Amino acid sequence: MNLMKLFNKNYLKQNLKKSRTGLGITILIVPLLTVLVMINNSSGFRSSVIISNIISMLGMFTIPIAISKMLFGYVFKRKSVDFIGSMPLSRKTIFVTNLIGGILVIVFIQLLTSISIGITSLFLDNIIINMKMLIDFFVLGVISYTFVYTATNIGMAISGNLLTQIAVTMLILFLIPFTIDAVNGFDFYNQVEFVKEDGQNIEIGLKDYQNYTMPYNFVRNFFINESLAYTTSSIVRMLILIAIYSVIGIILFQKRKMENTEEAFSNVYVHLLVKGLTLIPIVAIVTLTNMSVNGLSLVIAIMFIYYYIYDMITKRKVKLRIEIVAFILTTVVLFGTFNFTKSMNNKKIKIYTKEDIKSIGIIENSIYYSSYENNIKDLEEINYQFENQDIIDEFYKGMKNFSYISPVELYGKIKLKNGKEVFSKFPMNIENFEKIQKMIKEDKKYLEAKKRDLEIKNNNEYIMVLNNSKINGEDKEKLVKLINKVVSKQNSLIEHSMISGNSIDCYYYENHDLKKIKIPLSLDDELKSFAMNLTNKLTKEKLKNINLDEKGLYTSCTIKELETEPKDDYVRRRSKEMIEFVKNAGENVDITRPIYSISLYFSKVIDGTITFYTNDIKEVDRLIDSGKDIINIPDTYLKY
Amino acid sequence: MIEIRGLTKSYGKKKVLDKLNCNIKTGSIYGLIGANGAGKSTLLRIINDIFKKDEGNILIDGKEVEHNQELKQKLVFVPDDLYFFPSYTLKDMAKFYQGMYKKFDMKYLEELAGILKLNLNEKIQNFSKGMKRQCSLICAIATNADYMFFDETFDGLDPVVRNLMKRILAKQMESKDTTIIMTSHNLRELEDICDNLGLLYKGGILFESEVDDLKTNIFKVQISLREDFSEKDFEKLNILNFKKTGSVATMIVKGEKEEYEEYLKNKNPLILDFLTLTLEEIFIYEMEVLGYEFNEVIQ
Repeated sequence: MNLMKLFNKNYLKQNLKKSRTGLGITILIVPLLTVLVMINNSSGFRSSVIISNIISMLGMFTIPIAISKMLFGYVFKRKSVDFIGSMPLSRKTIFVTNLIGGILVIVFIQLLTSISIGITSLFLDNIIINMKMLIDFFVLGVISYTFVYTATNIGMAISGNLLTQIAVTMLILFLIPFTIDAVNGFDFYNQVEFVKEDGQNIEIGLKDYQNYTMPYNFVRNFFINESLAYTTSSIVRMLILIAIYSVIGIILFQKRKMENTEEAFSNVYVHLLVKGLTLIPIVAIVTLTNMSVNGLSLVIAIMFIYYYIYDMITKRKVKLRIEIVAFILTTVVLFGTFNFTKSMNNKKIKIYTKEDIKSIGIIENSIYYSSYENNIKDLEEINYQFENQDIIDEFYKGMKNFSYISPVELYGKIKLKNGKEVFSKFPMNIENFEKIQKMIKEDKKYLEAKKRDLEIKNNNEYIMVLNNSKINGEDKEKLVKLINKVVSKQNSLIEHSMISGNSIDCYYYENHDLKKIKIPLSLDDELKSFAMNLTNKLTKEKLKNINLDEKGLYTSCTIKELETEPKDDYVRRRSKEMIEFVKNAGENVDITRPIYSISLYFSKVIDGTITFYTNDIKEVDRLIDSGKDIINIPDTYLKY
Repeated sequence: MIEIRGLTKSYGKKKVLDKLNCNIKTGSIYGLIGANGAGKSTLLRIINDIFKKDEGNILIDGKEVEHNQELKQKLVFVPDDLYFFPSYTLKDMAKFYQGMYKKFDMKYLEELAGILKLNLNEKIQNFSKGMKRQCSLICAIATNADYMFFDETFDGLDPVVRNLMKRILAKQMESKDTTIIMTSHNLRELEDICDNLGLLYKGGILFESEVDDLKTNIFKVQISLREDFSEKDFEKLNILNFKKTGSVATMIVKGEKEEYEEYLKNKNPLILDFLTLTLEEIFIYEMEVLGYEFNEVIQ
């Protein structure tokens, strides 16, 4: 089938023209709201545009339906069916033209949104965007929106009104993955247990990286509070389904009974089938939250209410018919099924022993973090797998010797002999870990793999942030040189203190996700000195742009000796003296002498925390002692 | 030519068209009459490939209509319930038609709009009902389609406009050999426009004929003879209806007028008058012959 022969440019032009108002709104709303959200978000540096863009997520569902309504909406009214249907166009032409037209509109929306994001990010210092990310956003946005669009066109082809079309679209997008998750009891963290020899089990949660399509991933991740990453298999799945749904859409549209307008479905059995299918998620949710007999009563009661509401919305009339009996029976069967699967899931325990482990890979410095900010699943460091049995033995011992009194955890990826990979935080004993470290430091290939993770190869691909400011130009080039010099010399980051706050954040975009490397300043003296002086320079520049007399501006500051806890147990408010000190102090810091780090917070400034380093300990102490705004604050304010 | 064979269409359990057969000659104006819900609109929609048929064939100029985009260039349909794009002017609608129909004649449309005094740049939503109908009609006519389908389109037009439209259509037929199919549930609307009529009843064409044949072959005779008489005294006539009031009889007869005239004159009547019938009257008597009450068939 030559799609381009079926494309009628004139018809598309007229079809878009007649919906010009709605089309204008549809095209502009996503870019506009995206920019507004970007501008209004003032807290810290933004993670991936794709992850945090709630507007894009909501748009994924609403925009394709809106486009389908504009282009295909004529099928829901008798008058317009007569008019368009009588035109010298075959149904295939109408469908293909509108399909291509809708995709073109989607492409335009994504292009406009990507450009808007790119331009806005030039004016906002707290937005991390690079070209790769924008291209990804554009391409993946087009694919996701198109996927929903093709599903919604199937809904249109078999429905008599918009509400039924939406119901069918939701079924197409969600029913199968939802049912799979429901049958698995919404157990997103497959439990794997490593058995201690003394009989106690250690439970390890696995992150279940999704291969579903994006619409379902978005909703799912919203409820399990996961950050979203596009995966290649998800993208491929959507592309294949786009092709399949398009073909199905053409076939169904050709067969569509155009006399069916405003009725939910022309065939009463189809109506009952769709209604029945929409019952599945409702029964699943109620069942899995309440498995008792009361749960069955509740779910039947909800089914009755739903039975009426569904017909009120889709058919605008309700009649109690004999099929209510079938619905009750279906509800009972579904209730029983979900109960059964849940109980089976509870009994399912996978137990693995040391003999099941083929190799291990670890992130060494993750041992010191309670939460590790990198998306590290694909780092070369962790993909480097040790098959050395001594290392595996020591690793397993470390898990067995895990202490609840001094708990530490280590990010790692275990490959089992059955081919399964387990990526997780593993409970670890610090002494066993140190033994492992000693062993792996002798592995030269491993050290090379570590360096590759940290080395900044092409600085254009990285966005470097220091003191809540993006670093550009010569300063960035100098930093990159220093960092790469450090990395080439180091065997491990473990040798240096990893106390957070004194680091350079390097963002890069890889595998459709924004990742971050934290380079601690303490790695190298030259790096530390350069970074501190640069920090001071940036702080002074920022202070010039803050209107300190702005009404309602709240400031506070925390002072600490470098690499220690904050000095004194209080936080200063309206610390104008400290601000004045910073304004007048010199930029250069001598790292061989004691240093105070002064953190200033401004309430009305985007990323309003800035740091200043000074060797002038005496003056700062004097200002602290003589300051008028000293207030005793409870402990909750001390750590930040 | 339009050839319809064995056309069947149901809506659920209700059969609307039941093995319908019909031929519509090229270059004619065919009037399709039937009661509300008889299936007239359904038939037109199936011919124009808006609805799908359940069974049967529809051939236009020897080709199947279904999925035939090229053939649909020859068809234009004006439904009973008109549709215009929101906020469109007549000019905008004309441009839409122009984009769809290769033979659309914009200049002709503008000429027709001028004749009917329709403002091309006025939004159609501001027009009266009658003016909207006129817009639809002239857009359809300007497509220069070979087959034009009007579903109760002329119903509700004022007599002046109706006459004007008739003249326009007549001119169209003359110059372009157009075939026009019109439906109505009102015989009087079709009487002076159509040259062929078909009556749709219970899913099929119950009766069809050329209008001229109907009008010339059926006539009313008023007669009074010197002596007493009854229907039996007129055996040679094909009498559809016989009523006698006193000494005067009124007969509806079907046949050759000259032949009957001569026959009746030979009876030395006291009164002999030949009167023309309206189409409605003709239909009434034809239906009675077929055993139907006219009012049952056309409401």
